[in-house]
Amino acid sequence: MSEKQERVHCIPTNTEPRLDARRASIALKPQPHTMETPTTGDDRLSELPDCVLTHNVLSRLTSLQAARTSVLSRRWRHLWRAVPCVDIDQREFRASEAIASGNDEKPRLSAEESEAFEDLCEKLLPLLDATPPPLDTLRLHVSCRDFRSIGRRLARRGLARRPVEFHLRCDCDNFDVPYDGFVDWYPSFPGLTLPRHLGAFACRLRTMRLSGLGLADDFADCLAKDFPVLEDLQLEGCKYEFRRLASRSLRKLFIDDSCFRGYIDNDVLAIAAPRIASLRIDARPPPVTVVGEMPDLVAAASLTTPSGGELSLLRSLRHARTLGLSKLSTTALLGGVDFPVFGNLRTLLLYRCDVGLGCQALRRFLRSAPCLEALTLRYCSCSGGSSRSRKRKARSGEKASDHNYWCIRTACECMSLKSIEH
Amino acid sequence: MASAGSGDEKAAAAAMITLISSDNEKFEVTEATATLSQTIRHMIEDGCTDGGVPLPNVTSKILARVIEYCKKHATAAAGEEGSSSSFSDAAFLEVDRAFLEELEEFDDAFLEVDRATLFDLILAANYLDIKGLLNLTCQKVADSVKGKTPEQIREMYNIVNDLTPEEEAEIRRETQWAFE
Repeated sequence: MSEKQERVHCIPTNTEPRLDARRASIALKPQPHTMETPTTGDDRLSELPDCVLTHNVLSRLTSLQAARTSVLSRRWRHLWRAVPCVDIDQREFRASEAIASGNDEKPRLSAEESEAFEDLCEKLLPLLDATPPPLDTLRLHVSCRDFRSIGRRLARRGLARRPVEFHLRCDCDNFDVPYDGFVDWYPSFPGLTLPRHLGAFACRLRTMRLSGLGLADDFADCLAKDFPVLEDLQLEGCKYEFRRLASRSLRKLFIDDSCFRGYIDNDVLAIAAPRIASLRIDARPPPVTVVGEMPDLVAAASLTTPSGGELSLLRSLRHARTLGLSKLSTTALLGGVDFPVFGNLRTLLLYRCDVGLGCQALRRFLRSAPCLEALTLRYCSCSGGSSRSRKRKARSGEKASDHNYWCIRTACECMSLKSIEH
Repeated sequence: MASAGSGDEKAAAAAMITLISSDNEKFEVTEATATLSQTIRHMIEDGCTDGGVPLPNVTSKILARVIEYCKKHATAAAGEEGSSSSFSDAAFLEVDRAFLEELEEFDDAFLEVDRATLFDLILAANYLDIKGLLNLTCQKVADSVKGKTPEQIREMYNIVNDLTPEEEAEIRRETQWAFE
């Protein structure tokens, strides 16, 4: 039981002190004095240490659901108040009939539902809270329509509690609003007033997930100066306009299912993040250039290479263990003199790449990757001719095209290679 | 090659740790497996693992399951050795998706346990400070109460309502916004 005593010390002080004594007696022997028939079996859930219940169980629920556990028993009465997480999901306020009838195309709240939602927000993130305890996690899920009115206010108040993790999800439900340009369609973040405070708010912020937002240059500016310890940034279903992303602290960057607002042919996304370990930019990404070195890089995937800048991009990525590149014109690499050595590279995935006549360029790549273990080619071509990808793993007896022949022959020269897929 | 191989074996043999369950059963595990537990990691760093690590709060039945989890997830973490990164690069590449799916299947199968075992695993994960296992097991509990009424939760987990009707009414008034 020593761990129990030890863990009990970490209960935040805003729980009622009387609770401990009561809880102890309940934990030892549940004494039913209600009319309900006692059920068989132990109440193992209530016996868990406070810290586990608040930090690991209740913090995985929305704040509304966590608050509802207050009536379970005495033990639970104040537990939810010690949960270091605020999770507000506007969808919980939609009448269940609307969801049941399948009418969730326009998830609009009725007047009463909106009122209840705003009440909850005021309770959970009150404006005048003398000493608000800092949060571990802030999760907000608001409809696009209400983002300007209430979403931004919630984000501001929530961020004032200096969360370590921040998720902001905005459902795009502006279907009945005529499309009048990017800014109005996707609510912009951080907006106008927030950046003034971000420096103080974001001092503990390590993880940020943003979804369904418009991110312009002001976001990139904030990222560069106002998030001193941000390590993990995920953008999902966002529209982004910035052309340069710089951060001194970022370790992981994942841009998924997001659109770049620009002319992809001309625009290049420059990334200056010297501490980055994982980098992935999916879904119609602009070509990427890397500013400076990335000595800690472990994995980089789905990077579209800029034409003309292949070599400099590869040089920046040369520390990676795992590399996924698309639209790399390897033919362009043949002219370069100082091809980088990929000393750590174990896994290489090339997608829609031109591997050069007779796989010349691929061969050059493989020679510079002495530890490569797995090579995957998808929709690659040998200078001009394109070859549809077939998932084929060492299946002999199949008619090999010239392309396959060259690839296999090339790969055979690479001693450490254990698997090839193309 | 032969000498290099035996050298590796020596290094691996030197890095074995003995864990002793509450019922005095001994488990030999590699250091890589054991250090998924922050508690054991700190003991190794402090050099107090000679003669085995007694774990008086964990039975052999539960410890065996915990080790099973750690072994599987230690191989997943092994891909990141030599980097200070705590991120799984496997998650980032399509080519490793098969491995990730395998890990997910393992986790799903791992959670197919009765409720008493699940709670024992939570307590063990908390005591040994194994973040991944604690997250996994607590997520299952959280998922099971999601969208349930207090009555349903009480019934599911045998929670005895020791509040008087007046107290319950008072709490519902206090947090009226949550019950509308």
